[in-house]
Amino acid sequence: MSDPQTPNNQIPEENAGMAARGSNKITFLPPDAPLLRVDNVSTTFHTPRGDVRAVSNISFEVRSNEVVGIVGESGSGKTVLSRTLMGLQPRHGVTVDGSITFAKRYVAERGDAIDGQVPENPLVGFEVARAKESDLRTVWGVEVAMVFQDPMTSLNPVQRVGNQISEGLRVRQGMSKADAKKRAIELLTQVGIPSPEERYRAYPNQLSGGMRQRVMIAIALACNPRLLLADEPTTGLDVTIQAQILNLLEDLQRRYHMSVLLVTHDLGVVATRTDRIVVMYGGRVVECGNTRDVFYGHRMPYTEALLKSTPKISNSSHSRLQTIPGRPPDILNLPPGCSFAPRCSYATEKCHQERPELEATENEGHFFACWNPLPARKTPPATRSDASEIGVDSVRD
Amino acid sequence: MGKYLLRRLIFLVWILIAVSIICFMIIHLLPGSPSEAILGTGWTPQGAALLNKQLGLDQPLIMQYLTWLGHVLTLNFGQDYITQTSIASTLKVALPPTIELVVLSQLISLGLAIPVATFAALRPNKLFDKLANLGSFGLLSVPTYVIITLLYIPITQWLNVPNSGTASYVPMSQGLLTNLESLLIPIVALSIGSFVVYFRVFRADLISTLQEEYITMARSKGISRRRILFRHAYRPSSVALISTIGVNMAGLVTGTFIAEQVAAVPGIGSSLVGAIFQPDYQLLQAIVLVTATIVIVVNFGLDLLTGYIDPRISRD
Repeated sequence: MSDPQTPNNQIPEENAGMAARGSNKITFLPPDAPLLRVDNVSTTFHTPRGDVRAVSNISFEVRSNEVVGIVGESGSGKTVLSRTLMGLQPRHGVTVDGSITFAKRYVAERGDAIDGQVPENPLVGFEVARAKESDLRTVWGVEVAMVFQDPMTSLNPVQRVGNQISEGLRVRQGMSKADAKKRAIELLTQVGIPSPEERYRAYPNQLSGGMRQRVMIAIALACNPRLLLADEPTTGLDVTIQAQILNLLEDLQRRYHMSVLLVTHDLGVVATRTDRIVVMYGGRVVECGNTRDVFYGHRMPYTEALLKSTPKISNSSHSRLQTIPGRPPDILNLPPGCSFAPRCSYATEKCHQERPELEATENEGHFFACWNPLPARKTPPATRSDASEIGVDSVRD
Repeated sequence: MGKYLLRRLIFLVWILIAVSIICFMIIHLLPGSPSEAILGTGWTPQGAALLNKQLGLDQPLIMQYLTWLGHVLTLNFGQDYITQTSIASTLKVALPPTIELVVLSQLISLGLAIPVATFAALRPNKLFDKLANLGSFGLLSVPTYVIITLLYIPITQWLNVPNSGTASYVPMSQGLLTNLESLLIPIVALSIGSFVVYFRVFRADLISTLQEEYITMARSKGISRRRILFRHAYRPSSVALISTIGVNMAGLVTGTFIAEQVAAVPGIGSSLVGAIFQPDYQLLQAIVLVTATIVIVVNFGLDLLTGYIDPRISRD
């Protein structure tokens, strides 16, 4: 990963924000361009009580075939961030600053002026942050899809689940009703729903929570997106079902060569399933890097606290689980310094006064924001039993 | 859905039986007796006994009820001893204008309320929404008879429909246009009354539906706004509206009666008021029974519609 403060400019400036639509000069992205480039993104809500910056200066990248985890407590801005990346924030009362560039599959349109040769799998930059909804619709579902947090409220209660899956296929891919139904039943089978023909006709209230989340995943996968945004996909589910759903997502990610952005509060979830981790606190990135670097060599005390508060099998029974003292910060009233300082045992006067910026470690792509970081440690080489070495029991059956 | 339909159907039958018993008892609960009404000044105990025997009034109450029910089910409401005509023929004349008023006012009010509420709900708290809200709130507080009175000048003078709302009711058989002209004032008044209720209910429901997570989910599939509105938002939003139509039906009956009185329409309402002042208990009984049955059957139909629209309601 490049430096989050000064991202490498692989995409020419004039190209960002260009939706491939009529009489545009089309410049293709290099084939190895990141799928999603989030550059200095902030989301501000204009409320009657004043402006609230729920997400501040976030930068990271998601490359193709990569799984990136976004971790943080409730209220850390994860959900706001994932909706912002999706372009789902309302038009009114919300401002999104910065740039969210998505590498979109190029489909030739009349009036396009091609710059140079057309590559084999042509990609063009699509700027999400300032796109109109009508342009976003060209990306939603077919390029980037979302698995919503709560399967109880995210499915339309008065529509058969089959219709909700096949709708995208019919509207976006122009499939006939019969073909769409066939494909929807196929998808239901792939997400592990028994007797899919019967379930195709079911209403959401006739399915269990785990089943509904599987249906949500089938809906998201329907049009073969290249990026899947999973916003706490297992929060409302039993632990055993959680593991099943996460394994399913992992399998599907491999099978469809998707990139996945996995948003969660559970470090166990991201421990073995992600390539990279972004730790958020108070709407900011406080640490990010390769999963192994973050787990073994985390420098930010908040990451340490999060890791310590994750239950492990190696803990002796009936022992007290470590918790992080205090409460998550009130984003309406963030402290001037490091937002974690009030809860941090290493905090000094400087931490309360001045906000630390992200700084690089010796590990490539590993950054942290802290005035009094934990000592640097060397990340051991990868082994087969990574999860147990990391000390976190990943949610895995 | 099958079981739901059966359940509602059984419920419907029970309600109708209860209504018929109440209507039957009206005559027995009211002061005076049929013999007094029929014989008038020529009443003698012997004459009354003879008449009661002829009319079957000496039978036990349950037998009287069953006989009466049998007649009513074959739409035989008997002979009116006051006007010397069959009650069925009176109803046949009085029902059409009332049904016309109800059906047209419902179609007009729904036809206006749904698009106006949609327009308002798509941009809540913006100018159009605020104006529509304010207007509907104002109209909600004005009773139907005041609206009718206020409509006379605009409709008869400005729109130049002089025969509207006067005693010159024209039945549909004499030309639809003149018929509609003569009913214009009560139709407009009743439509306004229903419109404000439907607008407010549907707008509120649509606004809350559009904020549901499943609407955001539908958007994230990349489907058009129109499709989201019609396919995803309308159906869950219409349940409360349909229930409101059912509740409004009962209120509409009395509203129609008032409107008919004020606008001089010879419908059921006018007949009812006449029957009360006469007093003509037989006619009264028949009118109460018929209107109650219509309201109940319409509500039954709306219940089925609700069950069809929201499978959570009709789930077996």
